Amino acid sequence: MTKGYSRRGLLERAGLLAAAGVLAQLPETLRIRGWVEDAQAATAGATRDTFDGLAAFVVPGRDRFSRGQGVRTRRPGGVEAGAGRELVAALDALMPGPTPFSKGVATVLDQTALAVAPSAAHGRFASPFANLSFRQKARTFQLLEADQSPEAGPLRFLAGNLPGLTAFLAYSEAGVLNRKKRRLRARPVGWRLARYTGPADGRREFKGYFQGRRRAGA
Amino acid sequence: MRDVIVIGAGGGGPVVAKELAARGLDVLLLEAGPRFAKSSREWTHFEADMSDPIRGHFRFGPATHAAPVWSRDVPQNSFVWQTAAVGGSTLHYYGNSPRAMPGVFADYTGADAAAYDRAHAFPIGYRDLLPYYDWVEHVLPVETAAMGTKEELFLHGAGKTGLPVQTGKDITRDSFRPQENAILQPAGTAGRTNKRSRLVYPKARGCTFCGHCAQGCIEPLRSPRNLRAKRSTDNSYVPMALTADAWAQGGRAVTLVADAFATRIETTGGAASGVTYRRGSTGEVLREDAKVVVLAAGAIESPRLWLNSGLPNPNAWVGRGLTHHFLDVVVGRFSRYTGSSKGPASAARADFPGRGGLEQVGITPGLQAQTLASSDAGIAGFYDNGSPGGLNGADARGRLIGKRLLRFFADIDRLMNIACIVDDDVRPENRVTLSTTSPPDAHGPVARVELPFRQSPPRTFANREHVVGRAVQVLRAAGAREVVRLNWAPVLLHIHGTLRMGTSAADSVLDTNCESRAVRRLFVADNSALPNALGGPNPTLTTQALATRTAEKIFQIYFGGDAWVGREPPVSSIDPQVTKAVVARGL
Repeated sequence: MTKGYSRRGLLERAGLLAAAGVLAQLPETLRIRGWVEDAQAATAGATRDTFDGLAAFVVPGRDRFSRGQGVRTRRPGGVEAGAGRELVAALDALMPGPTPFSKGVATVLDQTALAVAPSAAHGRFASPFANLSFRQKARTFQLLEADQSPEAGPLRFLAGNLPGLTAFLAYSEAGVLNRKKRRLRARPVGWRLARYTGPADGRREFKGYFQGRRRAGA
Repeated sequence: MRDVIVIGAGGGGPVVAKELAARGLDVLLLEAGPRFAKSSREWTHFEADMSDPIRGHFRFGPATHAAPVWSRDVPQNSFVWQTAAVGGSTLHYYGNSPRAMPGVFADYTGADAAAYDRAHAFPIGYRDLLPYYDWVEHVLPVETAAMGTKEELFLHGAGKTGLPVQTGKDITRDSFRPQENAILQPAGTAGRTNKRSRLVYPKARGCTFCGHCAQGCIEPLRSPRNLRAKRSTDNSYVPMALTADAWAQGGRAVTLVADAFATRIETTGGAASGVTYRRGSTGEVLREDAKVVVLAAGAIESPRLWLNSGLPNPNAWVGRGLTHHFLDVVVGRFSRYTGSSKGPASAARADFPGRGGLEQVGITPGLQAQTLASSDAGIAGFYDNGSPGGLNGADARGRLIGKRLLRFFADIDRLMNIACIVDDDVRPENRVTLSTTSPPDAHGPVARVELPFRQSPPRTFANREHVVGRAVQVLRAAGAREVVRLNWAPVLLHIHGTLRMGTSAADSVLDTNCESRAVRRLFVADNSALPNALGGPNPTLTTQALATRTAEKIFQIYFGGDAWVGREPPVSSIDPQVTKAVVARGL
């Protein structure tokens, strides 16, 4: 057995290399679109507004983002489930770097939102996406998914996966999970929405064997 | 020098490791991800803790949890669902273990032969593989699955559509049946109580019907590792490999090293001669030499490692031919209880030779919501993204968002999911390459996974529409009030064929022994080796049968040994000798 140390390994441990992948191309997409300064200038509050606006879009509730989009309910939704906050945390964990990755993703949603409705630059929220109506948010995703320009690979990937990730975070325990102690701080909103009874080590669900078959023939 | 180095401790690698360890060879088993040696303490049933693809335990990422996931260049709407760890993606699989369809093998002469992708058939016969199926089905073991409520409903619905019941293991006609699962079936209190205190081994044995297959199996509580219900390889083949000296005469325990990412396959004189790997926690780079190297890093990382090692690729088929079953999901909403979040996760199926198959799938709320909010067909009621595909009798197509999601998903236990598994054609355009646009990581250039799925062949699309239509029929017959077709973009749960074995040297990488045509002493033992989409059945069992055969070939060709399958009785992974050694060694 021989041993050695790679330069790349040393760099990685020093935190100088970020994760790669199609989303690593997002900064280049932002550059081509002229959105880099927007991403750098985005405040944490505006970024959070964008993802709360997304959480309300996927799972509306009684929160102000749901009211703002014109589609709301009387119950807690994705925002109260913590999905907006968790989206920021998850995206930043996915791509650590000097500029929080969530800002880049939020910029994509916000800039595309402005193409849908220029007036969204002004509104009750700091994020243009959050200022859109529900229908306009759907239109934003439609534009992103249909974008066939050469630099749009990361945009299509994001548009395809963000709704599912948001739904996962809203309906799972993500918003109330203490990740260190691996305990829940409260009953997850998503469990209530889905009438889920919670995890268990076993269930009284055994219904026997179909036609009494215990073994398949050769 | 080792006898054999196996790269990857997922669904296939541990099979070769265990079989050769039982023959007394010195085997080193490398795994890039972590080893969850104390899974009952390390895991929970929380989806956010386990199934979150970025921060959960089951992710494609390093053992050091604070570090980000390893990444891939995936330039289209698609989702790769893999786990890097000892056990690999069998940690989150559902244990479904159907045999491949006979029509995808070289010896098939059935009247419907033209219905399959015959241009890419197995280079061996179905009859050649049967003894290896039998062997693996005994080792795991594979058992006929018991029902929960949703299985009763599915099977009732399938019967009402006029399908006959399949009673054997071999798929010969359109039919439905309980699954053959690599899951120990309920015994004692398992499946018969909700009370935790009564779900402790040995009062409870086998599957407790907890509904958490996707979060890994730690049931029954306090059971020895090799007696956990689901036979993911961390519970079956790996414990056997680590105790081979105890249960096999002349056996020798495997050396398992986790957190060890292989970065290069070394060659000498055109033959594989060793492996260089990197320890994630320290950055240390190590090299070990071996007489034989077995590549089993999964259908994306195996071709990546091949290419990063600079190994020959004379016909440019390394990485090509990726099949993924073009999975789709159809979900029914019922006015009655279905128990979708409870019971066995997937215990009933239907098969359609030449087309694909269906299986009911129970999932927990986060994954259920993710399922319902994922599509290539846009947002139901708003836009369809120009996606091909029709309703096929469903009420809506596309992802559910907003109030539509809330209404449809108002009660998880009144839903039923049917996964539609497509017999998709092998095509060179579906491929893994080295990314030139994403930066390399600590292990070299990252994999690029290209799937131009909108340009899939007509047979693939026709098969997808067919099985989706069948799923809708089953749900309607079972009593669904509302049915939604998600029309998923590729979700890569079943990934195969990127280093395919084949008859022709012009379009395959491996010969009939699963040895590389271009690099002697290099074998492949994961889903990469599969030559086609199997007709639709879930791939793990077939990969494990083929890996068993590959182990025999290695032993015969390079170690002067004899074959054993069909000549010796197999030892089961739940054999008392194995249990005794597992308990004694604290595994």
